[in-house]
Amino acid sequence: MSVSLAELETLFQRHILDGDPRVLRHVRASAALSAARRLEVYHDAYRLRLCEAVSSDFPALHTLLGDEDFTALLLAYIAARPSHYPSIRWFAGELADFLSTQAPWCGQPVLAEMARFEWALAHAHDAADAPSIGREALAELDAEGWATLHPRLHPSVTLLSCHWDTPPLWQAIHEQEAARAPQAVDTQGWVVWRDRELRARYLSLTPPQALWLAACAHGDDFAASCEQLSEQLGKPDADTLAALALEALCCALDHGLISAI
Amino acid sequence: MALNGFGLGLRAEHYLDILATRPAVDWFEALTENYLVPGGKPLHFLERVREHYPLVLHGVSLSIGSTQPLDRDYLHALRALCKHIEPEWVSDHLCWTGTAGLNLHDLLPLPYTEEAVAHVAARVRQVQDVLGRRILLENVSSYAEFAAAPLREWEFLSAVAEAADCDILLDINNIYVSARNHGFDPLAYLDGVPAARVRQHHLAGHTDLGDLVIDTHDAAVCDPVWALYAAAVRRFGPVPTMIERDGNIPPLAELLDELDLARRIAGAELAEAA
Repeated sequence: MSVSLAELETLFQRHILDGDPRVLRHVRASAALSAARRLEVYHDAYRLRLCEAVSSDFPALHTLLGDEDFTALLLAYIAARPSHYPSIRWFAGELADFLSTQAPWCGQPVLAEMARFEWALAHAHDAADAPSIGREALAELDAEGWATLHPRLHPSVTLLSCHWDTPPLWQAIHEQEAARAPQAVDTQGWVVWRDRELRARYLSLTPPQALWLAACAHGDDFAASCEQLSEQLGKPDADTLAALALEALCCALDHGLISAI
Repeated sequence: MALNGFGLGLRAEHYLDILATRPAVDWFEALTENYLVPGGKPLHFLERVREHYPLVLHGVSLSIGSTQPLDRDYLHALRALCKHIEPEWVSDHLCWTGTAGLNLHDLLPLPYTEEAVAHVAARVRQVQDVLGRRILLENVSSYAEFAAAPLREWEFLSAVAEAADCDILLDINNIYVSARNHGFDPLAYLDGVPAARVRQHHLAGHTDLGDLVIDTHDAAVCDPVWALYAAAVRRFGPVPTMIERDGNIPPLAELLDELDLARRIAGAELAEAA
């Protein structure tokens, strides 16, 4: 029976993805091994490889769910969102979104939050390189420099708004502390980034810091970010606003969150 | 292409050891996709290793046998990486990894037909045009062969290499694995490949399930693969050779010992031939 290369690849892929048996008749069997047994290797290896890749990016999510439920999640994700990425590195980029929208996982929002946090750590690991400006850069600013100040966030920065104690929980899991349940918290801002020594780091933010960094992430220059801060904080007096904005800027500079000003 | 000697697959677990101890490895092979990232640690360490060692790039996503169009973005990213780190050469696998816009992240088998030879060879030429260099194609381990396939695997590999004017990365473990899975003579494979195109050897471990042998790269090279490597040295002479390890990655010193064994085997075979 004649089959084109394109047809053969389509059938082979369908067998791997959903067990479509039509490719079986095109596969050579031997006395010792059936065509089905031979194809089973590819069917199983596909899932195993993707599961291993995702597991390495989400160790704390794995711990929260346990082996059985984590595997069930990954198999569901693999079935729902097959990879179209050249590198397996990016395959799990939609996992947090999947967790937040699909039952039963969407009923435990801490799971999506942990996935977002762990994905931010992975992003910090290999995000684009850029300079990291320190606080000393402010000393070189004249009046015009302050007027046109436009801090740009380092490409490795991810801002998160957490409703659970997700980063401390991640740390506890990372350090193999005794298992504990996630704790709901008042909304808390966090920043995840890569520091000057190339380490992935995270830091809790005060509300003004979180608001100011969000304005920076939005592309606002310093003046606009101050206006945003003023609006969000109920228009504090000018001295208070200036002190809060300067504190947020200096904190960002001290931690290496700013790549240009 | 002047690379010689014995190399290792570059793995993140060994970055610091390599830079601290500068082991006696002639070159390293970096997995292309690990470094097609915007920046950060992977590229930092690749650049540091490159300051002290020659590198080659080895990819898994070229999907040279797929019937969907070549991924131009991937090729351009690969070309940019080549410009950045100046690898001695670039290799990928004689396989396909997905169709209809998907990537199954596996090295899937091709039918050994004239149609596939022509298809793959045309795409290799396109890739070589974009990269501005000749590439190496590696034989993969396989667990299934197609019924309507008049060529043997080594005939297919040779025909593609000739038609595309590309070189060959001959993986000795993959020959062993596929020979066991399909019942062919691995020595016939070695004899059937054009020696002038063989530029690199891979050595690796596998998992023997009894009815099938799986290419897992998670164990030391076993004795039958060492024996086949000795036969490859007799057939092809001093071809640059390296060890791949992707699972159960041991300390660097253990891999260096294994690499020394490859050196000794090759040395003994070459001395006998001299």
